[in-house]
Amino acid sequence: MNARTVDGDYFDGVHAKSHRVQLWIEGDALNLSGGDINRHEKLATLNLSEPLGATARTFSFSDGATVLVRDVGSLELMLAATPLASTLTDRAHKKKGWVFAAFAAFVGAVALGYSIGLPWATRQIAHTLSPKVLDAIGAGAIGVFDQAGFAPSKLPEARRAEITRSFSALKPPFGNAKAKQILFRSSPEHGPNAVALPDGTMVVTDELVAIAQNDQQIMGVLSHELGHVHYRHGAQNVISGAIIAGFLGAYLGDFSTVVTGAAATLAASHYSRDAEREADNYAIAMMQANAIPPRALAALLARMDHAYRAKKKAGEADQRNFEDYFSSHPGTAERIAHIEGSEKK
Amino acid sequence: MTGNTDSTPFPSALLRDETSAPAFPHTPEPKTAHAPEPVSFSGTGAEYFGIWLVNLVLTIITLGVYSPWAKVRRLQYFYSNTWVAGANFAYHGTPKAILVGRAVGLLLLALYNFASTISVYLFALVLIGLALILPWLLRRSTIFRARNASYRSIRFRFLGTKANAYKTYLGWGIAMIVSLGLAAPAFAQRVRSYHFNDGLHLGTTPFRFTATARQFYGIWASAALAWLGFAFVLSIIFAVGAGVTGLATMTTVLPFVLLAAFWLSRAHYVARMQNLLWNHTTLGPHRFLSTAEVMPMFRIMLKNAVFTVLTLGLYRPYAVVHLTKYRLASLSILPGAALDEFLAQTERDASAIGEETADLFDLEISL
Repeated sequence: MNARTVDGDYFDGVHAKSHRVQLWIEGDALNLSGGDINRHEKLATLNLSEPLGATARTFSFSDGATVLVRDVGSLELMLAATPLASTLTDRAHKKKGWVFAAFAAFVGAVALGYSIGLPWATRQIAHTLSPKVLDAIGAGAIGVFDQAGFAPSKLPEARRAEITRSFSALKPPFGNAKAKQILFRSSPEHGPNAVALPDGTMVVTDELVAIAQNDQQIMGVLSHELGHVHYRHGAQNVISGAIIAGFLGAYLGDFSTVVTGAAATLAASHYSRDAEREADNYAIAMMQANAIPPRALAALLARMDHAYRAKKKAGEADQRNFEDYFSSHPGTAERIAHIEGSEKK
Repeated sequence: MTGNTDSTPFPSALLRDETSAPAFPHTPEPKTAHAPEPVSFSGTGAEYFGIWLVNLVLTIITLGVYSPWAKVRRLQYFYSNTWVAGANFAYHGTPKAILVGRAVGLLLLALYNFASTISVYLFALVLIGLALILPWLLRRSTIFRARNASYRSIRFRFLGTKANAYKTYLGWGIAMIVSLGLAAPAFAQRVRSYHFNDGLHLGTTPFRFTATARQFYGIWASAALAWLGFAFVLSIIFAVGAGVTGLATMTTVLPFVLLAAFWLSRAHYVARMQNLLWNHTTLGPHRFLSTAEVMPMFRIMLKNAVFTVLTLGLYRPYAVVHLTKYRLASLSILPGAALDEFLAQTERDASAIGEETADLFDLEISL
């Protein structure tokens, strides 16, 4: 019924030679004719390649023959009222407005996903992990530490036992987080620092013990680290790192695994401001619950910050400029003010 | 083996891993009266952007399950837009086969990781098992790739034997490990030769490949030299830059310099290898001519990288199209006989009928 025709190249499926033909629709069948080629095939028995922009499309017959149509615009019109007409989603790829909308939706989804979805998902996943998994992550991490500028501690055994004992005597303010073990390591390179691994293992540097003016300050830092364990911040970092790596893999996949890996590492290399705040609040609650003034933690933070700046000034930190640029230790001053403020309440 | 097999489409699947030798032998052979038939790519960046974006969004929403469908659409786009002698290629792979292939790949990877955490013996056992099964899988996947590509409704076919698959992948794979990677260029040559000399056909017409391992070594060596050269120049630039701004010391920057230089020398490698591979490939009476040049390739790659980074990756589809266009435009067929006649004689292999559907082990694994 439809008088419209389009040109095509017919291949019989046996020889590579092409035949010029004309195609038109008649009822529920496709007709083609040209030279000594004449075919009449039910549309339902044909396969038509997907529309992909202005890309030429191909009809495949059940016997292996094909027809190549270059003028996809005319083809679309010819097929308009047939079951082979493009679906709405097919057409969407071609319309600039749709592509733009998909693009906007994509950017919006990524932004929302990163700012809200990712933290939410990692928190959920982190809290459903069994202790066994956390142990595995922690065991992996401690090996990395021992290779990265952390040497065995030079503190006397008795001093180490004393700190461990004092901290185990403190009770958590809520929840049941526990320090699994406290490891001491000497690290002039990294200076005064303490780290909590996902399984509850804590690593404290000799330099931190040295810079503390009293044990209350050390208890404060350990409480802060226990906060990270309680909220499973470490596990969350590992999880969000994996999620980000997966996303970047899909997004940049074939671009460069190096870029992907580096970007994922950067995105997950430190705790967020919120995580630090949560751990600080936990430490405040824990210290108050055990009759230790939170200002001890604030004082130690100030001393650590001071030592860090002094070291940097001395040029020792020169080599680490690159890392420093990315490792945001956000607002130490703000944290100190917050901890001190908590005492006045 | 370098690079990710997913990224490039058939023309490039044929082009992949390649680079070119000192430009083709510039002798237009036994004077053919037949004009060269250029290969061309009719896709556009804007069009591919739409396909890429929709693929990406659906892949993310479905947590990766959609990716085989995305791959099929991508390959269909690239095959269908590759033209030579008035006709295009077609891709017939099904998402299901790719999904199975990915599942198998994932399973093997999981097995490998799992075994390494249990015991050394189990790990060794798994390694041996993998070594025994991989050549078989790779052959299956070459068969899959060939069978699912067609030109003028004639399917490609791969008839390579299992014995040669083991000889090539296992034998030369071991040689590569024993030689600490020094056998890599020879390995690459053997793989290509296995694909093209042991059985790639268009219908009943066989492909042949004649480049030697020596020529592969030549290109790897010149790429390595180019890398060192770039690294040297970049080091000087950075040293001067760092001196002026005091931003970072050489030791911090050095890994980045080496990385950048490595990437720059890629253009050299890709152009040269493409030429080597195609200038030593024949299809029946026809030869190929590849004239990719290092500098244009370098400019395209540089522009692609800069724009891709500046747009946070959004330029990627344009970059892929841009590079594909150049690589295919530098390729043409030198007919050794009248193309019309040849095409009329090029036949589907009757014995292959039904092979398309009857295969239980229809899967694709990308190295």
